[in-house]
Amino acid sequence: MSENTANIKEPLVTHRVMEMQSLFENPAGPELYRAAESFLYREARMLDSKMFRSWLRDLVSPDIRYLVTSTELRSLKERRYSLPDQVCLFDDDYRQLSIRVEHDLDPQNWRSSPQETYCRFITNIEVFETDNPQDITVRSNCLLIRSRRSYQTDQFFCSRLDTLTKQDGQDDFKLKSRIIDYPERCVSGHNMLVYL
Amino acid sequence: MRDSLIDVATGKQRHEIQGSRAVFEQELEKIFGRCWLFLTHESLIPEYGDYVVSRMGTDEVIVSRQKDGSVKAFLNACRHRGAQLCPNEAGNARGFVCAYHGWAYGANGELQSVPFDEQLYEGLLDKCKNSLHEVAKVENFHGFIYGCFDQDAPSLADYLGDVKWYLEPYMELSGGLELVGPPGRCLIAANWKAPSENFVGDAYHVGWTHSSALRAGQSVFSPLAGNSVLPPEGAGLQITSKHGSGLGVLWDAYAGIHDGELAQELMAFGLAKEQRLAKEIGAERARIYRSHLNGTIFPNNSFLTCSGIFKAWQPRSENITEVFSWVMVEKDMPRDLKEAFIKSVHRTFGVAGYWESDDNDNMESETFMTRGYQAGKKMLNSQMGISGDRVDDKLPGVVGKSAIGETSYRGYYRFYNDLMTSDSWAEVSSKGSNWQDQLIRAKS
Repeated sequence: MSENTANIKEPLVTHRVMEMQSLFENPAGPELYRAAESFLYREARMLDSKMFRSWLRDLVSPDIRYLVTSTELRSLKERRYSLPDQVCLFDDDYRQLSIRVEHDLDPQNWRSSPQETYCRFITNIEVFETDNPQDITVRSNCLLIRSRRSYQTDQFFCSRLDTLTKQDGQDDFKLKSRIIDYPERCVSGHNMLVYL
Repeated sequence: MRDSLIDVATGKQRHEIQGSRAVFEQELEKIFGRCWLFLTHESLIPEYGDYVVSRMGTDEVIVSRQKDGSVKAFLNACRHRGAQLCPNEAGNARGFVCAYHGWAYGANGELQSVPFDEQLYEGLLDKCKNSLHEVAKVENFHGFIYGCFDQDAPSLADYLGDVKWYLEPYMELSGGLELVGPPGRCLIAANWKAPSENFVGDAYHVGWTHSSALRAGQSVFSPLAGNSVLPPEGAGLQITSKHGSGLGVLWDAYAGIHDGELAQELMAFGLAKEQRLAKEIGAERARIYRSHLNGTIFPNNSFLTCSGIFKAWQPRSENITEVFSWVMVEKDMPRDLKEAFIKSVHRTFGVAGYWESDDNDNMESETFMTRGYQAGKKMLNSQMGISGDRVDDKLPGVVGKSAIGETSYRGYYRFYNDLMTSDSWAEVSSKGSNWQDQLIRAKS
């Protein structure tokens, strides 16, 4: 059976994990595929609608690891320079995601008013079984367009590698791990205060 | 017209300096062409041949560790047709080869080979005269490496002046720092001075701008949320220096903006080290080690000690700034604590930092409003505490009367004005000979 990203030990080098072919060896059948697709669309709708608390409560597993890295641009021939080449823009657990959500929804978060709007496009969905029958690997692409104030439109785009988990007795999947190696090295959209 | 951009005597600045193209073009010559600019840290280029590509104003420079251990910096442009020599951010290389025609330079900047040199140039190309353009001065402050384009500038130590005394406990006497890369990078629609002035001396905004961050993530600063309390007199200090660098001190706030269990572990680590340091360097400076400093090294290099944020605000234009965010951390911090700390710094003040985003909105709107013709001509106010600035016999620099004040803003723009109105370092130095009096005399 295929490997499971939720089990990868430190150091977790995201750009290598994203290309680990062993993750993609066991495509899921149509039923699992539809369940995963519907999870991602539901999540996109909730995040577009800023239902952040519901997103956390209903779709995010308490043992979540939410990881977004940025990888330093180095020569393909680089061999000697041994310092780490990735920085974690996000490396959050459930409590840390909750802090972000409460920060965003706080009535004294001045940047949240007037409201900014989001529109997500989720594509290229592929679903794979893993060596744990409760977990599936889901790969997808995400394009998120954020519009702020009168003149600001920001684009965020990435490939996402998710582990969705369905514990015994549960009807629905929850997000157990999300790994993104953000492709744009210098983020052009002012900040990355969005959930990808 | 230039003189009226800044009014040192009353602590005011013309709003248009935060977004005028004409002012920005002068700054490239008079500020970025003359001042010491942050390049990198020793911990990021430890070995011979290690390099990073850094920014000095709008220029890219290769900063390279030499065979003898020294550090040199060169413009990242081929001498032939000016193409970008090194497209990487960091690495180890004995040399750099231009992708255009293949001109090859050593790590020391010397032009080493040119394809078909003999046949095509017939011996007329003098390689010795085509080394990479070298940055005039490169110096080091406890591992932090700065470069300066102006041969006539004072030494880095003299340039830092009075702020050194406050920085040494954390940066040196603590056992030293490492700078953790790679940096987070993003573009903000703000003039480079907007974040620089905020970090140099704005403790005032914390309780209000960061109200939501203070409430969501419980840190030692959280009681300030929503301006519900004013830090008492004596909660800290604010100081400025001859060359515009300045900082604020919040006593004993070692855990800074970090929250939860991490904050508790940090407090325990800092307290134990303060007690040990007190025996070696005295209680006063040991307390500074464990106190939270916000500061800017003039012109565009900012930090929060203890919180661990280290920034370069690199100008791309009058209203676009590229933000580089590193973590600075004590070398001897235990590995697990260090790793949690690094992630927490980026979580709060990185590209996706929830504290950082609060600030960026202010900086962007301060810049955005300079588009208004009338607004741009108006003077902005940095007069808080103006009659309380003093010279203290124990504390270096010009010292403000409380932690919350705008002394460091005034010192920052006093020096800015000297640079913008002078034609040489000699003139700058002469204008600043009575810099303390200029600040102490200022009145609203």
